[in-house]
Amino acid sequence: MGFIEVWCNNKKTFVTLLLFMVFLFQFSTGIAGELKRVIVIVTMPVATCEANLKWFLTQLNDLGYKDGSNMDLTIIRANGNRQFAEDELQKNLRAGKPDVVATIATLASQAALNVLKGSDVPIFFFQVSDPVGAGLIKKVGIPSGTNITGRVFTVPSKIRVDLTLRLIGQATPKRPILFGYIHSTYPSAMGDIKKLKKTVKRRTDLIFESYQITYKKVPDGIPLMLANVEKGLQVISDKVDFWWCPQGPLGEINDYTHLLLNHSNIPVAMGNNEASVKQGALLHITPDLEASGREAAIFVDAILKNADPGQIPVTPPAKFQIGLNLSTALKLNIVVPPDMLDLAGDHVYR
Amino acid sequence: MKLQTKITFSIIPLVLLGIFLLGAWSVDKARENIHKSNLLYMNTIINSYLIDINKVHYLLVKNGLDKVESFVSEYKQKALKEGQAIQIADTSHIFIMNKSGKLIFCSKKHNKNKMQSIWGPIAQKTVTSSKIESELHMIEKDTKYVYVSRHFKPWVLNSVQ
Repeated sequence: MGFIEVWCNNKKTFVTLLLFMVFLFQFSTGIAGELKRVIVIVTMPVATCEANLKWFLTQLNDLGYKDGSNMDLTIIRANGNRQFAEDELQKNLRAGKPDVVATIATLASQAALNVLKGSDVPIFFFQVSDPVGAGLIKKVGIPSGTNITGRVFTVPSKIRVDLTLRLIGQATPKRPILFGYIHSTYPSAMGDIKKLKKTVKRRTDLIFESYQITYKKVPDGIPLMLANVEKGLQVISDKVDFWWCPQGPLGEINDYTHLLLNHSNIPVAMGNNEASVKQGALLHITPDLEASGREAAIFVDAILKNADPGQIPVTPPAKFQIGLNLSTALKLNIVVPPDMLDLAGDHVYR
Repeated sequence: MKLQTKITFSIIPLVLLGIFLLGAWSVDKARENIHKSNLLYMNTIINSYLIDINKVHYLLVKNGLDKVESFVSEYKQKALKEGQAIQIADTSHIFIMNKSGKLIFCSKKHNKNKMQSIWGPIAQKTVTSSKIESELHMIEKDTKYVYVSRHFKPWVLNSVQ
């Protein structure tokens, strides 16, 4: 029998087979070129948020995600306004369901959770100092069991306190040592001072003296917040031995450290970031921004490949950075131990 | 005398001589290998200690602190404490001396003065040697002691084991 005869006798079978092959071909090309919808919400335009965003996008690129090709990327800049972030996210949801929402810092993460709670849209947060205090998760170190996971952006308070004491303990023979902590009502700052006070509660060698100001949206609210910080300086500077920069946007503003250093004679023991140490703070220990951004992208990639965010435990990041100001150390007659100097590596400033 | 007996008496001394020579050679070889093994052990310990000292010194130089007295003094103390933590055989000692032969540190607490009188001159000889500082070593097999010595010039420390 020839092909034509076979074809005439088995028309139905041939057509079914042909349709099935066309369908398979479409499906396979669909997987290879499937567009992933990624929304990134950035809390505010401060240096750490921008650095995290930059490394996050760089790593996504390294993993093969190209905006406009296999990824539809939307970046929402909240500018310190949580309501604005929620409204923009709602607007984007109307255009289509995202495959993952990545959030940088606390307000953006809270906004995403408020909009997407109970949904099946995965949320990955990073650069959040106190996710439990911010209401994002119940406990650090365990999977959330929901659609949210992320990375904690802080060094445990006990480690920060112990490291600081190793240095300033040499400069201050008197006990207890008083740290001044002027902070805003931003969630990460509130959570940080709470944890620090809890850490030192049973100790007799140091005390945290705090002064609270109302958080105002960054960047417009910066001048007012700094004016209130200056008031706080006048109130508590005669009670404290050293300053301790708060976590959150206030501590990240360069003018904050500048204000502490220039409007009081009291040294800054713990800075919030590398910039503060360059200005004159003795020490900072913070998660490494490049490692943090890249790690977030790796987790987002896993989620885009169907990893369940509810099964990924929330833990601190893997890599940290220590920075030291030697001029400040020498001025205070502090000898930095060799192991700390070694850990600081190239992040030693004068 | 029978021929058999003559042959036996002429062979036995040769065999005995052979055994004796073999024995002497074995003893000499064993002594040499024990000596080498001891030197390898001592060199390993003292080199790893010098790595620690060099590392600490490098930190000072890299951060421009090698002229800051408080840092140098503290880091020297730290380096000496590292010496105390080294685990060595019971029959070994580690000494650290300054360039004038004064004992700064001894791993064995007893007989310090005696150690200084024996090893002080050797430490001074190390300093005046023309070999590269911090990699110098001198080995003298003919004394009843086997030792290796290093001179760390930046801190004028001689480490002898």
